[in-house]
Amino acid sequence: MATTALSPRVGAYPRSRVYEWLTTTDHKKIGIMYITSAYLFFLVGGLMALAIRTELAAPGTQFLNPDIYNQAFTMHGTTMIFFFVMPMLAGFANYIVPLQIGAADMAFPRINALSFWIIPFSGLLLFSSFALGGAAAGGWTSYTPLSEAKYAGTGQDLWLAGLLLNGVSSILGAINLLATIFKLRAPGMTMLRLPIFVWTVLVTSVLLIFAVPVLASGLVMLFIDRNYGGAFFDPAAGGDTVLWQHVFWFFGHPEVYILILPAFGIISEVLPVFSRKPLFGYKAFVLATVSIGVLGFGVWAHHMFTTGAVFLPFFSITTFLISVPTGVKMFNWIATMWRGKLRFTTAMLFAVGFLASFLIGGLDGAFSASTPIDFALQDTYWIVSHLHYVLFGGSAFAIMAATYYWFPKMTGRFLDERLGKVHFAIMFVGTHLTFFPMHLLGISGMPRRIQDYAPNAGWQDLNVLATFGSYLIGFAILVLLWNIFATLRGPRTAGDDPWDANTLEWATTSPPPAYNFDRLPEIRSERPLFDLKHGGAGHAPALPSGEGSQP
Amino acid sequence: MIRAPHRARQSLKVVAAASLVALLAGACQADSAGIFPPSPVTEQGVLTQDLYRFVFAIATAIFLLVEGLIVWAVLRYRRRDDRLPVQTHGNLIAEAAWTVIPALIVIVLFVMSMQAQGKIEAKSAAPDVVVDVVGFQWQWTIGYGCPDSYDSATNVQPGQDCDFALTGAGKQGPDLHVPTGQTIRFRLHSADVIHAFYVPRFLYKKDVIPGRVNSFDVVVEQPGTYAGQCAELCGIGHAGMFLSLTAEDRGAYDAWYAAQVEGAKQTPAPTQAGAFTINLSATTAAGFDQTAVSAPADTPLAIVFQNKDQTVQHNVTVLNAGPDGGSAAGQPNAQPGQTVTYAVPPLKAGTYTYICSIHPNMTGTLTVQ
Amino acid sequence: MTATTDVLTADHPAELAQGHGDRGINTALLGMLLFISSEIMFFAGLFAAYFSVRARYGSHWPALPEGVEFNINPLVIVATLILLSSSGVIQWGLGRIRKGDRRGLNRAFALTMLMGLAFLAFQATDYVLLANEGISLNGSIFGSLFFTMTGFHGAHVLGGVIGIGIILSRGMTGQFSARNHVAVEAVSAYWHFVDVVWIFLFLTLYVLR
Ligand code: HEA
Ligand code: HEA
Ligand code: CUA
Ligand SMILES: [Cu+2]
Repeated sequence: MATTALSPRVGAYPRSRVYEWLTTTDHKKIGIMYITSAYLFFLVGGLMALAIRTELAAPGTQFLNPDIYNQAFTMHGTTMIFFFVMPMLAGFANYIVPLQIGAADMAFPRINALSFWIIPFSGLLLFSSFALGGAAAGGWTSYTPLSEAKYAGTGQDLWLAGLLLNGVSSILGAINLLATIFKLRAPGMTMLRLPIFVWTVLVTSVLLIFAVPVLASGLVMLFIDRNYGGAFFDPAAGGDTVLWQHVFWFFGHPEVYILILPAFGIISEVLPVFSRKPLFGYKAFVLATVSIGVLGFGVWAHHMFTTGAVFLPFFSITTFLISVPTGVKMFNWIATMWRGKLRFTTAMLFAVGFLASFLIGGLDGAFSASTPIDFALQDTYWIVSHLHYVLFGGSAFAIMAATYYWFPKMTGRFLDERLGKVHFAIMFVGTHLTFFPMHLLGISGMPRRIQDYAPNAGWQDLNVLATFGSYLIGFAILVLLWNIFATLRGPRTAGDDPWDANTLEWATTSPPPAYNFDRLPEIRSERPLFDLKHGGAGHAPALPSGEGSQP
Repeated sequence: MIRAPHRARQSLKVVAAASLVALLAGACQADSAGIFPPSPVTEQGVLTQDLYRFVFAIATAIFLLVEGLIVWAVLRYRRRDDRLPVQTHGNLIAEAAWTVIPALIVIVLFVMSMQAQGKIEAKSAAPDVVVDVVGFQWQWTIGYGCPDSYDSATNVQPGQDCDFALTGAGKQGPDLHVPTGQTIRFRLHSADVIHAFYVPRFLYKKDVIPGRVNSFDVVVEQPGTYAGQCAELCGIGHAGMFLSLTAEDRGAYDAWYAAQVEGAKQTPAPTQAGAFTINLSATTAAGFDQTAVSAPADTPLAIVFQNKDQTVQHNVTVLNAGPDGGSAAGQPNAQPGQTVTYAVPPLKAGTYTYICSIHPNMTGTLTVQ
Repeated sequence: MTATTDVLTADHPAELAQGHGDRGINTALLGMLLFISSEIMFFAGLFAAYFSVRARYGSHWPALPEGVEFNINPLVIVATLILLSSSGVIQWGLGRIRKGDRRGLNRAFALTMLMGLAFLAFQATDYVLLANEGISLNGSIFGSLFFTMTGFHGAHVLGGVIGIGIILSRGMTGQFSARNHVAVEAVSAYWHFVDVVWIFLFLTLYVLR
């Protein structure tokens, strides 16, 4: 077949497996490496979370002194955001996007390999700080002046350098994904037939390109402050401390949508397949994704309501408004399930778990959008609750759904569904036990980032509950690890299209060949495989009338 | 195709129910935490509480509606046969409804928030009492009767220029008093990093930022003593930056104020004659210049402490010095650049630890022979 | 489940390699433009820092230590003109290779490279001058901003010069043609970007202050 000529990796002579992986430019292998390393970082970040929870189970100092404790949550937050969720979603995007648009690889395969390899190295740089006099301890937000040379040691420099490198990786990855989506779509794959996951990756990549460089400029300025006597954020030398917060959050808020939009995309793939219905309101979905991306750049100062240095009404209204497109998605998902034929595979359970949990996190955010309420809640455990409901109940649940959903495609094997359900049940219960009580702690006044609290503050019971919940989550993750391990040792069980799915990645073998496709079905809607299987007859217009791009 | 075995689904439901019960039990058992903020003690806090209740009601309604729809869909539309369901792609009217209705809701929430915010952030032209709060790693100094220049002066050290200043020692924060029913202005200054002035019963906090002076007005309505705590990460002592605030009627407040002014005038007791002198100093909060000193037993000691740190105050506290195991001296704190002499009663032979009670990481060993 | 590939209807292996590749903008050029967008945001971050600090100082700008003054190096006008016209030169070179004129391309790129180097030489003299006046990266907020912004710009000019050098050496061996010169397009786009950033820097740091 002529297509073999397209394979970048048809070696004429044998090479070792390890060498093959180390030098690969195949988007699928790179995707798997992204995902694997992200899971490893998740375990590290999770162990730090367990340490934090254990310390907080009782007043007094149990086993993390204040110094180590501050390092622990700083590195926990940094690891989870920059080394777990971001690379994880980049990994899924890497693996899935070229397949879903019917391409043979990414637009720039070698840059793709570079973007991946930066991640473990920047991670090592960041973590080397533990051996070099202590990690950064100023929170994942590293507010100045606490992160200036006067108050923070080498760990902070390594944090800056690690994130700068990590940012380079993200930017290169985003450019690559955008070029791939714009240039390598198969014939017939018009923009309005892109699977929603691809759309969310597209918008996320745009956000990355606009937001990450701004963080980079802040990191550089702080680095100059710390090492070359700069005066950017040092009020004593004429600089402005609040400037750091502006720069950080101008990046930081789009960042949180970077962490959730591809998760929305995953859910939008899983729900239709297991409801056996198309995604309800495809165009509204695209529009909502784009408007979240745009609005996301206008809300950053909602993290700074209590600084007394920002114009409150503007940032309050934009923050409120961003709930609207998110709500559209929520209702469209439910409408997708409505009158469907729901199959409760583990992936589907996690998708439904996502809806249930993310809703809570989103509503928490709406409280904070109201400035007076935020004056009470800011920097308390309420915020910790909010951020975990959206990031753990949201992004991490979606990542779990994606893991169960695409594992058969990547390996040709089903993860064990029975273990999967056990995993889901424990993790779901654990999540709410851990993070729900934090609302109550927050409104009763428990500040975040404290290593200790007074025994008479009345906070212990809820903290014990949260700690217990976190152990449950840990146990659930062990079940997942066992499931993956056992499955990989077992035989191949999955066919090419084991879920009876809709999109192109299921139109090739599991796992796909290096060049991805021998042939492609004709693409007439955002569900080419569905059209193929159900012949279009009777369902002829795969898009509702009015969807402009019919051939 | 994969289907959950019946047993698995059954146990799922049991687990879900059990967790719900556990959650509710947890929520109810807690001594002071609930789904509403603790009852506010300021005029402004009451507004916040009302707003919170309103948003809570709306959020609960949305929560119940959406979770209800999810649960309904999950229970009702479970696959029962293999026929393809009707392939609906969208519905313009429905989608418009769930765009417009939430939009209207958030606009209402926004308007209400702004109305409350206007009142909560309002500043009186002539507040009855002005309290200056200086946050530093990791304590507060509170200045009463400080000059007007403090309105904009960013690097202040309440001391001689004010009527009096309060500080706490260790985790025991300063004890502020304010009169009830009157407008109190808090002016917030930082000597080093960012802190946040937070009294949970105010339902309010404000950042304490170096290079800026933030301020806010409150009227405390409920008399009582309320705990406060720093709410912005400020280093390893962040969890121990407490303060306590007592609201009392104007008469009691005035009496307290007069007593404080009187106390500030008193000079510290002179050191005993024949005391053995120990010289200590500190240039940063990282530690004392000497971490091991020695002194003769059963002799009164005078620790002459020179604070060379230009940003924060320190002290020298000898732990377990008293017969009852209490610590010796430690007060008053030495302001930046100041030298303070601490008188320590005669000690028995042995080793003692001295610390700065503001920065418990600053330690040293005193060997008494 | 039957393998779906058996029943696929369309067969487009040839298009697979390129997708829509033949239409619209070249992929590598698109990559460069996206990269430039991210670079713009990086400088936007620095500019935002500048303006936010600037706004706090009002008429007390540039904020410098007692007795230090910021005197403008008159050469900056010349350097600016050189950099601006280099954009024209590189564009002319691009036009030449689009018509297949390899010598034109090489000449234009050699000239652009010289102009870039001249600009860097100016910047070196400017830095020496400022250092003599007592303005440096540390010690004042104006110095921090000035040196960071112009420093990063200078680094980008240097990067551009290196890129142009690579094009030039490839051009000398005749690697470009009227149909095949994506790298030339990409480097010119990058050079224009460097140029535009300088216009903004020149306006904010030297003209408006
Ligand atoms: C995945 C990440 C993610 C996501 C998606 C969000 C989503 C939102 N966030 Fe969150 N946020 C974080 C991650 C995220 N956040 C993190 C990490 C922090 C802490 C950073 C730190 O300080 O460490 C934070 C902090 C944070 C703050 C600052 C709090 C403080 O420090 O004082 C605020 C304030 O407004 C806020 C608001 C919101 C809002 C309004 C949304 C909205 O997008 C939510 C919208 C969704 C819904 C509302 C639910 C569905 C909608 C409907 C069913 C429609 C009907 C609803 C209404 C009419 C209200 N977030
Ligand atoms: C995606 C992001 C993400 C994720 C997934 C998590 C996951 C978790 N987080 Fe985290 N968290 C943040 C992002 C995230 N967090 C951020 C941004 C902050 C703010 C930081 C700051 O203030 O600067 C924060 C802060 C934060 C705090 C507040 C600290 C403080 O303010 O003092 C707490 C406290 O309970 C906490 C707990 C947890 C818990 C229990 C989990 C759990 O869900 C973790 C579950 C995972 C595991 C339990 C790992 C399981 C692994 C094993 C059990 C086996 C290991 C085996 C081998 C290694 C072989 N987090
Ligand atoms: Cu001061 Cu935290
Ligand atoms: Cu935000």
